[in-house]
Amino acid sequence: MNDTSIEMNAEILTCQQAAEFFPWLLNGSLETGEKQALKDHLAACESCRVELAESREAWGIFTQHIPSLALVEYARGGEPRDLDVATIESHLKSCASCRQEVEWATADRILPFRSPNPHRRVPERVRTWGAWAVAAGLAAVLATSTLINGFDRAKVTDMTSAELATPTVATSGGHRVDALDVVFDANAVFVDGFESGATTTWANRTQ
Amino acid sequence: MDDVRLISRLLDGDPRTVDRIRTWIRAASRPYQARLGSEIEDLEQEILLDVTRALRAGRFEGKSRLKTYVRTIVHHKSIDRLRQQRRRQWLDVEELELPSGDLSPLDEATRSQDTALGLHVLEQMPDSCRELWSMLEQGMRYREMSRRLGVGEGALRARVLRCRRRALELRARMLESKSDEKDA
Repeated sequence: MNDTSIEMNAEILTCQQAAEFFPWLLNGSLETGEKQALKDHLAACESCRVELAESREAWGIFTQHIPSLALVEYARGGEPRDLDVATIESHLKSCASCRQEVEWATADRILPFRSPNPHRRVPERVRTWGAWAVAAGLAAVLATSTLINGFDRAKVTDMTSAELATPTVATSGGHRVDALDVVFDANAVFVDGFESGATTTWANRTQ
Repeated sequence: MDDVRLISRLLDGDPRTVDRIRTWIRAASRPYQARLGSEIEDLEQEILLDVTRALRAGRFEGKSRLKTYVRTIVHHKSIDRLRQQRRRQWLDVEELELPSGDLSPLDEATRSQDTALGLHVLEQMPDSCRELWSMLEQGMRYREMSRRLGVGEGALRARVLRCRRRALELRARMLESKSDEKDA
């Protein structure tokens, strides 16, 4: 029948045996015979009825969850009306099903940099690691660009000294433009035939 | 289109606006669709009716966008429905019907105070107690719990009883200190 090996007869169901069934009476997992035996016992036993009432109260406490509206308000960054944030967060630490529900409640928020919960604090260690990761990335970019520049410079050193001594000059519409007028503009890549963001001011340096 | 016009068209029953709101509801209910199975269509319809009723009653205060408001209702309703499904599995005893129907403002206030108190009590219970009661919630028998935890059945029964007493005592103490605070 079941693992309790208690004969389902109200006459022999002791108070202790009846009390063992309370959790399953409350969670609805008692079989019909067990339920009937327990009901019969409860009908005749005042102290067990009191005990069942206590079990129900305890059940209410142990199966307590954050009310759905407060949970959704919290998950979506609002201020829950009925519960304070500290109580919610404390419960979330130990309640996997509520944590799952918070995830669902934020699932439809598609943002490029997702920050669905303003109450959520990033641990110090994570922040530090994040900063190091960004720094490492920047260092890698710098190192790569230095290598490429070094390669270009090597080509320049291959030029003759005469070529280097002559300043680079460009003319436009009869104006002489000195190489010194070349400035860098990060937003003007490949303008005027200069790579790497170089462009000219085309200043009027007429002779 | 701004929210005011959208609301007015929805309340006038404009089919395109209704479709638009339906699309929002469907998008927000996506995480629950697989879990709620065939119930999802009924729920979506129910949410649409709830949204319409809330807007007609002027409950939308305009603090957020209408879309955000609708999404909040979707999540709230869907989570409630999932919780009901879970409860249905373990509360089929006639004597333990769930509270239903509309609550009075006083009932609602009392209930939210009870919830906060219950959560505070639960927070202070040892993990071992929570674990035990979570197993009971799942419908486990002492034999199975005993196998999982490596503790004798007799000891488990005693622990369940101890946890129950502790939870009730703690709640009584908290209620007492609350009423003392009020009196002071």
